[in-house]
Amino acid sequence: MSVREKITISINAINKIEGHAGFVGKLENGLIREARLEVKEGARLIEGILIGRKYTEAPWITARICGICPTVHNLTAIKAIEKALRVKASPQTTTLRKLMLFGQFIQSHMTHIYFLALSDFFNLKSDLTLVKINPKITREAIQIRDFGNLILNTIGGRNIHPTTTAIGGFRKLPSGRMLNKILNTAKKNLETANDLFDFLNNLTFPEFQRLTVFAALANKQEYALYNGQIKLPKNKTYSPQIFLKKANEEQEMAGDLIKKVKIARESYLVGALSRINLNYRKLNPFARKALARAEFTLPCYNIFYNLLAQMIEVIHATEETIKILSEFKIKAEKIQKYKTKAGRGLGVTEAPRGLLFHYYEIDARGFIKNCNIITPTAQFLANLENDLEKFLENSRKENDIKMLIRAYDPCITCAVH
Amino acid sequence: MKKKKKTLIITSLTSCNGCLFSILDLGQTFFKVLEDFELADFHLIEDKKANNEIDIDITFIEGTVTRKEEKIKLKNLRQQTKTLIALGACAHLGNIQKIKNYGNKDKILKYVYPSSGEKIDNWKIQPLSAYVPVDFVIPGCPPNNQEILEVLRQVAIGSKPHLPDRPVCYECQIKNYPCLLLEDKPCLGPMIRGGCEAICLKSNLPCTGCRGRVNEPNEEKMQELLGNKEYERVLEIFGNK
Repeated sequence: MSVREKITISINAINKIEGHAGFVGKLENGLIREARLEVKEGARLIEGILIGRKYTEAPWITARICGICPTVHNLTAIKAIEKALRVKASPQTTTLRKLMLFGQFIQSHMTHIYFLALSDFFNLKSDLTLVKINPKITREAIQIRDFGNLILNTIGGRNIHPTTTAIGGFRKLPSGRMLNKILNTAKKNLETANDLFDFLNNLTFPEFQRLTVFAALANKQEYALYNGQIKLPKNKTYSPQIFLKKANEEQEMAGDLIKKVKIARESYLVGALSRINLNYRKLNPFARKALARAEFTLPCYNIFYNLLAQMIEVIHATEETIKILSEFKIKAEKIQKYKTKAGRGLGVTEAPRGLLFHYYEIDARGFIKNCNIITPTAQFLANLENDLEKFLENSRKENDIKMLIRAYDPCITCAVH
Repeated sequence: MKKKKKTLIITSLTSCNGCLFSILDLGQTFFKVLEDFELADFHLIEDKKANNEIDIDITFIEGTVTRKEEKIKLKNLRQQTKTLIALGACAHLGNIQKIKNYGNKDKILKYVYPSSGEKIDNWKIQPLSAYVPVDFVIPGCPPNNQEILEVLRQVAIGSKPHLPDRPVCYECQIKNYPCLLLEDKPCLGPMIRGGCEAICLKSNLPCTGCRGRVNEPNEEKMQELLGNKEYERVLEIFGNK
């Protein structure tokens, strides 16, 4: 009788991701039994602590779910509460919020592309080496990242944990002069972003793919980030409410800190690669051209190309910023008046890593009765693990496994929250 | 003779990691400052295994202890490190995750994890100084990265880290921002430590106290101005209660 051969691959700490996680893979007689990310941090119980607190605190507190995408948590909470209180944001407010999202995408994507993921493509262990061997790319990547931060600081008051945003408008509006500075910087950055895309496009991307389902926001007018319906492949669309009825959050094992989300028990992908696959037709001209030059074709199921998808979005967001600000004149506008009342509201946006949902139920005195936050990483985690399972058939090298995980750009602090 | 570079760790426990990103926001300046150090561990930009054996001159640590492993990590770092710096409001005060301390922790845990709350290791939140001696605090949520830079420069040349201890109002008045207390808004500015350049006040947002109290705050006066209930509510946000 043959002896069963059991192998465990264990990575204690996956560096260069947001938050702390490890990896465990189990094989038996060459067959993969398990491939799991292990959370190595604690739960902050964000939904739990919000119960019984004033709804006005929710955007301020939930921004702190994440240090890399606080603005999008802040805005999604605001959108959900505005829905609950039936407050309609003015067109100017909506435009400024969209610009903030572009800033958030640019800042977050550049952080991931340069600081977290790029070293892998050169087989380097440290960004400090990357800085030394490629000062030009370092300069360009940081310049574009700074541009994202400029938008966030100018409109949001601060790039980490915004201060100007409010339910019904802005506490403080940016000056026309500063918006002009954003416009001019955007124009300067467009070429740099294009160059950086070509540089990334010349990297060697591992060959790997596994069919999956994409999900992203979509609307008729634009490459949807701020609002829309949820789109799945074959042009199926759902309202966010209906989508959430299909997408189930659950702890796989008792004690799990991340509630993974699946649709009909199947994993799905959210984030840049998913958005590009579903909504590429809405991209701006330079982003479209970059896509045409890209080393992948659509539909693309190779997550390593997530980097290129993110860079295409950086180009798109820069173009969109130019488009909006070329015709935009800021006008004085007060925060809308509204009354505290009972209600419930679901807000959804695209965060850099994918669909983000905030839901609040408020009582007549303005206290939060129920809430739920569903983050992108909680949605794509099952997909990531399924990819890992298949990936282990090709390679069991620690570096390769980490590279795949990092290509997803997981945010563990968001996923646990 | 060339002086030996100081060894440096930048790391985190449970938090949003925003402090670390505010360091990355320093961009090229950060890489320049790092030339004065021997970087032993910064998990956001390096993929190497932490070495518990070597002596560390300075450790910046953000986040809170939320479970057993994190307490062990913190204790180990303390043992290794000459100067341990608590970075940001989580490490300093407990931050938003400390709100659960003011309510029924088990109920809150159960709300988030209805079926297996009891199986989850989830500690009461305390400042890092409750677990180990902390040599210095850089306050804020997020911290002002100019202050982080300042402290990095101080410790690089071997001086003791220091930052001013002045209330938020000090900077708010210099910048000539309208006083929100005069508009009856619940601003903690007079009793909270500045260094943030009154950035919230710049946006007409009352100070909610992310940087903790100044030395000898006039709490009674603050309580009187805000009213007891409102005062307590605002104090809870960043773990100041």
